[in-house]
Amino acid sequence: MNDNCKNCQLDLIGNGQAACAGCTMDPIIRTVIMQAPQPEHVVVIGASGCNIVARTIYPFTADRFNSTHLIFETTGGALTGTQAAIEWQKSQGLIPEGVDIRVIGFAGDGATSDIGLASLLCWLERGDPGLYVCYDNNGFQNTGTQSSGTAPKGAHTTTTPHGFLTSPNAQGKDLMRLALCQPATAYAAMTTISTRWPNDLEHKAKEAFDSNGPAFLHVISPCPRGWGYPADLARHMGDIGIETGVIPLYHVKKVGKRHLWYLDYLPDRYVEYWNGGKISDDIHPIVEWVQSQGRFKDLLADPEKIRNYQENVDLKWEELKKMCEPYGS
Amino acid sequence: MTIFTCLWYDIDRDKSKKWQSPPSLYRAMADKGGLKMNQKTKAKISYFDKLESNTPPVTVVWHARGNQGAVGASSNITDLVALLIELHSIYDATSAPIFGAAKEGEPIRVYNRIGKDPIEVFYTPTKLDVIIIVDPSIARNILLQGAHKDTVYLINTDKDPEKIARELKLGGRRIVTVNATKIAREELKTKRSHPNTTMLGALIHIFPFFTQELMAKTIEKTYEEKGHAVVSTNQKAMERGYAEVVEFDGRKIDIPWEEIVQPKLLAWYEILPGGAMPAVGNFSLNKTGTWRTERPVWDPEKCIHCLSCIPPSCPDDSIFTKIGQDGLKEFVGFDYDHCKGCGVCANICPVKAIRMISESEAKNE
Amino acid sequence: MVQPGDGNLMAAMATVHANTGVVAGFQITPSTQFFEHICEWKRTGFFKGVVRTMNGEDDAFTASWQASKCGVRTANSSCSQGLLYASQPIMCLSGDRCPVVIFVANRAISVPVNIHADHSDIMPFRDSGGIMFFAKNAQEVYDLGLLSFKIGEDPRVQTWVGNNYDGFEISHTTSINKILNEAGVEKIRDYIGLHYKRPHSMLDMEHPTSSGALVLPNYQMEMKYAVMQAMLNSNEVITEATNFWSENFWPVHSFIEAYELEDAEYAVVVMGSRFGTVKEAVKIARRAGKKVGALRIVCFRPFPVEKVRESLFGKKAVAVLDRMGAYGSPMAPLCESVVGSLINDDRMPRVRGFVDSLGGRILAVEQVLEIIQSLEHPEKWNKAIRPTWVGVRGGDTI
Repeated sequence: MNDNCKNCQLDLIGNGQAACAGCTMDPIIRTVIMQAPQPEHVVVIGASGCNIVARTIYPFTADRFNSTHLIFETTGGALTGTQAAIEWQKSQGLIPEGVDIRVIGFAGDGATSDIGLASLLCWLERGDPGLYVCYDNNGFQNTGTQSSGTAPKGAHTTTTPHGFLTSPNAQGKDLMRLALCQPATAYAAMTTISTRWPNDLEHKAKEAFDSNGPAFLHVISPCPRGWGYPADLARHMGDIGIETGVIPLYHVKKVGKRHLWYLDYLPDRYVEYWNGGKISDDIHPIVEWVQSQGRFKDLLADPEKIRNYQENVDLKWEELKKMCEPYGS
Repeated sequence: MTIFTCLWYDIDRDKSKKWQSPPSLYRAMADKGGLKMNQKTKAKISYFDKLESNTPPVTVVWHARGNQGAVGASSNITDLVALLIELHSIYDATSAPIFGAAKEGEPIRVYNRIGKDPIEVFYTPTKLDVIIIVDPSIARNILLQGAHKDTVYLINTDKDPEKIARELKLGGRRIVTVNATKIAREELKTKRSHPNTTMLGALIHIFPFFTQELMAKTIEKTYEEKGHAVVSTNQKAMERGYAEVVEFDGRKIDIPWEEIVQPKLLAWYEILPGGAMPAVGNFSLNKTGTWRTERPVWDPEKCIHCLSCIPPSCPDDSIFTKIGQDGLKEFVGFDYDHCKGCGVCANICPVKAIRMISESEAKNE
Repeated sequence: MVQPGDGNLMAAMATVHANTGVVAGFQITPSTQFFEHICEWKRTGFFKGVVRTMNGEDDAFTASWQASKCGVRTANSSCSQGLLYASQPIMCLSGDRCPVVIFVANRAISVPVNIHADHSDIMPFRDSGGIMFFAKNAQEVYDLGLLSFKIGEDPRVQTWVGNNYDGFEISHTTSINKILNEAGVEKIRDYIGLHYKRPHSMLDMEHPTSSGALVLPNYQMEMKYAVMQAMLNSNEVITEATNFWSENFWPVHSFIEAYELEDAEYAVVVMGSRFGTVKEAVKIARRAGKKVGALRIVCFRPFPVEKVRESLFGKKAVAVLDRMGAYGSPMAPLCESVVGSLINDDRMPRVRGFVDSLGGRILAVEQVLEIIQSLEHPEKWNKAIRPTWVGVRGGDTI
């Protein structure tokens, strides 16, 4: 179990935060920071969004570590600035030897895949060590659930009301693929908060810190208000997502010059397909995922859109099969 | 002490200067002998029977929680007055939610101004003529922000008016109560009670020029896209809200009043450069426990101390644990000051040792 | 010692001599050479700081901002569209009290796109809470640039400092300048401090800091008042710094530079490299018996109100030459500040605003003479209260 709570010596995040009841963003931040080599020696950069509005309202702050919020779209720039500052202070002997300061950037999917995409990709390309964690709640939730790059097409948001696509040809973004188009990316992983794989985020955060270069964590962070499910099912959303294949658990390591893809969990739906057969359609179809959340109410009524959504998910698994196969799953 | 009380209180109100309510507006309410209301008879207390021109608009505030329909209800008032304007163009009104990133369950405030002359003042009112309390569990120094001698209270509660007046230390005031939560749950048959339209019914007593027909028309306009069933149940709830109101004139009765304590704000030179703060995690002073509608209860027999409920499950780190004799961590109890009642712990507990009960049940236990 | 060099080189030299820690730069004409020098000197070891080539000014200035929050001395350079692209971080620097030194080779703003000089890129930042110098030559870029680190990092100030110099006219014109020798660099580093000591640094692990918090209406004015107070304090700090420089090295102007102004009846107020042109015109006019003088504003923010009042009170008429257009406003930015300083006093002169030299357009000595000539006949000025545009074909006449 995680040591970052009220009754442990490293209680790094106080409570009293102003996030919605049942929000999964704060557990993600807690878990990731605890996996740093020296959790008390971290510098946390926050992009504008729920994590800032929930954790700090002057004169109060929930943080017990060096944290700041700069602006919405340049988390990558801030990470580079901090890393350069650490490098300079080390060269001038201003940081004692044993102190290993790690830089972590937290940003939502809007701040990562939309307004701050250039900042992310160019930070990765520069190759400085550091960790960029994108808590992906499929939309701009802090401003009241607007559509974002990773929001599924057909889901309700205030800028795609009842699934009506205001930019009709939008197909959404695959953040992991974007992050991996940079050869300098040392580690990238996709994970979520769930009941059956509670330590998946911890392991991946650990591996991310151990990689000697820029690491990217794409963490799906279910949002009770934006997705429309009862707050107590926070962790079950992760389970349903993993089983239906919407949230594949995999990570990519840079070994030598090559990116090696590793699949962490093969859902039953794709077991037959993985061994060369056909995708078994009856196991955990996409309808399970669509039924569990209020935002898909209109999509549920349209079989055409459901079929399209299912195809997109299966397509993703075809790509995963191709990438993971040569190096073992 | 909650952090939102001093949100917009920028006028330094020194104790010596007593607040004077504008004399003209309340001439109609000269003290006509404080006859003790008996619950059954509906002896008329005068509120704002008709509004007069060139007097300040009547200021109203709705105190509720995120997504309890308060924002909707208060904008209903603006739709209402729009209808009045269409009928005989005598009034103007505005409705403004408190501007902030209110999260689900968080106390929010919505303000109305209703006047005969066009409304041209837009700052958040610092003096309230009508205080509508949709959720009385909100902290007192938020509820009574800006109250003055002639403030009228409309409270959603199952208690009788005098009891709630003494509980909230409202001092001698006119109080209208209605059990809107019960009425709304019975009429609307929704899982979470939405008392806003019921409160609108009770509001007719305070603003008689909002007749029931107008209120019904407004509700129809607001909910027509949600189908006829929703419209009719809300209209029924509004009518019951109007009928089952209990009025109480406490002006002549000795009910204690307690001055609202303003948290001290830092002067500009006391603020660290750039608004930096020592990272000591002092947000725990913000008692988010008040956001709860349900609370978890622990069953020691069933509990196997697997601690799958502590963070990262519990989003608000609201579970106390201690190191037991065998050196392993054990569950101790909940931190009800901060638990928001999200229910993740109850849901994830493998042996169902945690169950959720509603706040009202918890109060009786 | 003697150092031939242009504005960009002197800016880079100031950055190196100030023992700057981090330069996260990006290039844009005509500021490019600043970053090129830094990168080349990093290779040769002349510059010891950490350099990062960034992907755009937004990221570059955020990196500088964050490095400054981590308690490291930083400098950066951009202009025109790049400066506007970096406007989000720049506007935040004063509120966050980060003393980043920014060298700006002023260049016109689009549209039309134009790589030549005018002040339209820095003027949008005139109320952003940053200190702003306007150098008249490459020498001043070096002198004031080096002192900017001390001025910005002084505990009484703590805000960003902009060193503006005209694109191409100063940034690419090689002139013979003086720079500090070994001993001089040691001395100035003792004065400004080898490192930037930030009280609430993000790398201070013993006392961690949480900053950049959301603020509700009850604290916004207090925090912005602190920035205003810092700008007032900077007057004192600028005076101290420039006095130190003048005593130990060579004279440098701090707030204003006056030329033949004491007995003058008319005056011309200007900023940047066009001051030389105005001085030439004043010499010719003096020889022709006209009592005219010239006033240069060196420090545009904080605007030297007292000094401008002392210099211009009692004059019959004053011409203010702005290198920034005024579109629908009675006065262009410099004229606004000058007139603003002279109000509420009956010795206030008549003021005529001019807009000239936009996008590198040449302001010749003859045109300045015409301007001085026109000051004597206020009745001939155009009736509309708006600046007169100089040298526009088919446009205003002086």
